[in-house]
Amino acid sequence: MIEGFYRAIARLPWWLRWSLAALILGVVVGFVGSVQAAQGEAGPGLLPQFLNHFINGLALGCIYALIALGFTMIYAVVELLQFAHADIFMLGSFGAYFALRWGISNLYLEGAVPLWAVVVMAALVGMAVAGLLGYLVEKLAYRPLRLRGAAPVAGLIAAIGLSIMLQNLANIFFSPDPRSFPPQSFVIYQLEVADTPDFQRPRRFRVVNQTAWQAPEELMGRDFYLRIKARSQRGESAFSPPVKVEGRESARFIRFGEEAQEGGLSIGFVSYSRRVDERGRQLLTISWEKPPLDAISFPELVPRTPLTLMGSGVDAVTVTPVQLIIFAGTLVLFLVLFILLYRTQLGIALRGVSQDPMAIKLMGVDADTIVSFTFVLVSASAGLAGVLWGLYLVQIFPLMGLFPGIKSIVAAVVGGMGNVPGAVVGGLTVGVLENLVKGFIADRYSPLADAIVFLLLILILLVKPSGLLGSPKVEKV
Amino acid sequence: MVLETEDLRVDYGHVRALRGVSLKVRRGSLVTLIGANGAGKSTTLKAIIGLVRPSGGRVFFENRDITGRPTHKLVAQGLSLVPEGRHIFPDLTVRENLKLGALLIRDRREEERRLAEVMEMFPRLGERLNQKGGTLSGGEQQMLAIARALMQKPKVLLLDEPSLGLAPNLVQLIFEKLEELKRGGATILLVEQNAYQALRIADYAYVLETGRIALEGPAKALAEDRRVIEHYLGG
Ligand SMILES: Nc1ncnc2c1ncn2[C@@H]1O[C@H](COP(=O)(O)OP(=O)(O)OP(=O)(O)O)[C@@H](O)[C@H]1O
Ligand SMILES: [Mg+2]
Repeated sequence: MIEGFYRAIARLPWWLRWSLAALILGVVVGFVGSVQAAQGEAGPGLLPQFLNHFINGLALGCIYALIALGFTMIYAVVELLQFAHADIFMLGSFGAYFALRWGISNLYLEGAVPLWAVVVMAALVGMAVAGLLGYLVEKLAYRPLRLRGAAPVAGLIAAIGLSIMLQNLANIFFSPDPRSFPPQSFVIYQLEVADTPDFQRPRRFRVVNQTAWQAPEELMGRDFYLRIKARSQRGESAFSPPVKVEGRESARFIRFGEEAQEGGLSIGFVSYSRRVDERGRQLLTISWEKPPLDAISFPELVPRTPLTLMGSGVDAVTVTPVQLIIFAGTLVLFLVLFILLYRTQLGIALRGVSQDPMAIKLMGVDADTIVSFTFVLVSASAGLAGVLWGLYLVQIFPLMGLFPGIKSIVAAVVGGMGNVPGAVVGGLTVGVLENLVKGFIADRYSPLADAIVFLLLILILLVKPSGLLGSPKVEKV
Repeated sequence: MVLETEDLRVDYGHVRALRGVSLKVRRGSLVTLIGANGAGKSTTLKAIIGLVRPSGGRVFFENRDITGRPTHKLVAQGLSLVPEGRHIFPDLTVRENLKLGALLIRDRREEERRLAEVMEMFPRLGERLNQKGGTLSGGEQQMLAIARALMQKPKVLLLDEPSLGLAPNLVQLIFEKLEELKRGGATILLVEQNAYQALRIADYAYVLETGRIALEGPAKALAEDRRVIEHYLGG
């Protein structure tokens, strides 16, 4: 499939390839010239600008590389363009998000572990979620097709279908709205419920970040007393005055007086209301006031202050701590990967599967096991990409995989489909080009920017039709 | 009998490749299976080692029914196949190819020992350990394919046309190595089109014609059989 694409380009007559390449170059350079001329003199120097865009591009490129790795390795092993890989990236992000939320409220705010440990834990959860999904997707969707010897296009259709399914499940379960990553603020509310106003032997409930609570079944139709206190990393409030919830009252609003308003974390009112849901069940909802937010906003997971590498003022070349984390994370992952691929028997077998799946069985290994392992490995990498993406761009949403996904596929193709170092080179190339184009040529949010990026990538393929690191003979022998 | 097939049948869709093949391989013997193109020789080996699913009949290995068992399990039990067309891993080095042969061995020292053994047998490979498999000559690739199977120390070695496409001196070399293995006590089932050489070194032979055993007997006797001479020895 992809081979056909490479072949089609390679089959163009050389003069056509080169003149197309020259045309693209001409258009882009001309465009740069006109934009630069219009910009005038003020602003930072060209070199620091270039370096900054370059560094930003490398950071983005690392994320693309982590995703492209999956496209390229899955393609190498089972000749499938795993479209849903981009959604596994997204779900890895969500996995980390929920782990972060849980870890911050249950571990960090309880003083059990430092913040960085929660971040590391969340990253591992994100990778595990993605890895598990990769395993399931291969096992449940692609393997049955493979075992029945389905045509390659069946795999492609399955992949597209899976992608749409995962996106929509995420829309349903997580809502389509973007969420900030990490969750911006945390307040934990502790509710105490007792039969008497002196709160002897109370039952305790915890609510995180929400200011409403559904009372459990056994509290229906009864009188009971309730009090609430709020807690965040800034400290905790005193309990609110007790509120009597009357079993026969359908709704009530209780505002506390001034005497309850000590510190920044006090709760000003509590209200409750009863209704009957469509299945005839009684519901009792208790809600309360959110304490002033400024008192409880959450510290940054990773400091945002950029570090200056050289220059100063507008000419400073900077790198942010998140970018350093992205570089380090990507580097470590690819180091581990290369050691695995080139130094362990499993890795050698994995490379073997992509070259000759029949022969690998004759080596005494179940090819399916190796395919599973590959999916887990690259999906976990996509999960890591999802975590880094969240830390870097601080927003996640169910369709977030779309653009990084497309760009990573392009990265894999430009690097040479099926070639692992090619995924790295391709990813970095796409990331850097994208940032340079958006920095110098087109407006960051204009659709033109991506078009120019893709034009430049086509230019690369016109000059080197098998991809940057692909071998010239494209057909598998 | 260490290996035995009983009325083995294989269909590829509507193509009936094997129509009931029964053959026996005694421990320590070299048995050859000869036949024309498309007779079903490769299919027989593939059906034995689980690469194709038989539509009928049974395969016994060490008196256990192994019909339809997955290939990797049979390899772990001691069956090895040197497939037609070699199927070495072209982008892996010679050493990595051999390492894959030893994939099931946990003990590193045992792996090294076997590596030394096969390199003694095929010194040309020893000189090319770090070269990519795909850059070897055809003869060297065939040696690599055999060496890789030998790394598994198989109880029965299945070979599919190891002399295919090789220059005469290399054909000679390969057959010498097979004789050497035989003297060392190996059990071998050899599929060949080079009937002359195969019958020369084999103990027992089967002749396959369109998916059926047409003739069988001690290799010496078959080499003198009129029909064999006429059809397979170019006489
Ligand atoms: N995958 C397949 N699908 C359909 N038919 C097949 C397949 N493999 C083999 N055949 C057919 O089965 C028959 C036996 O093939 P097989 O490869 O076993 O022959 P062979 O004796 O090994 O021949 P050769 O000496 O050319 O290697 C042939 O008619 C072949 O066309
Ligand atoms: Mg054959």
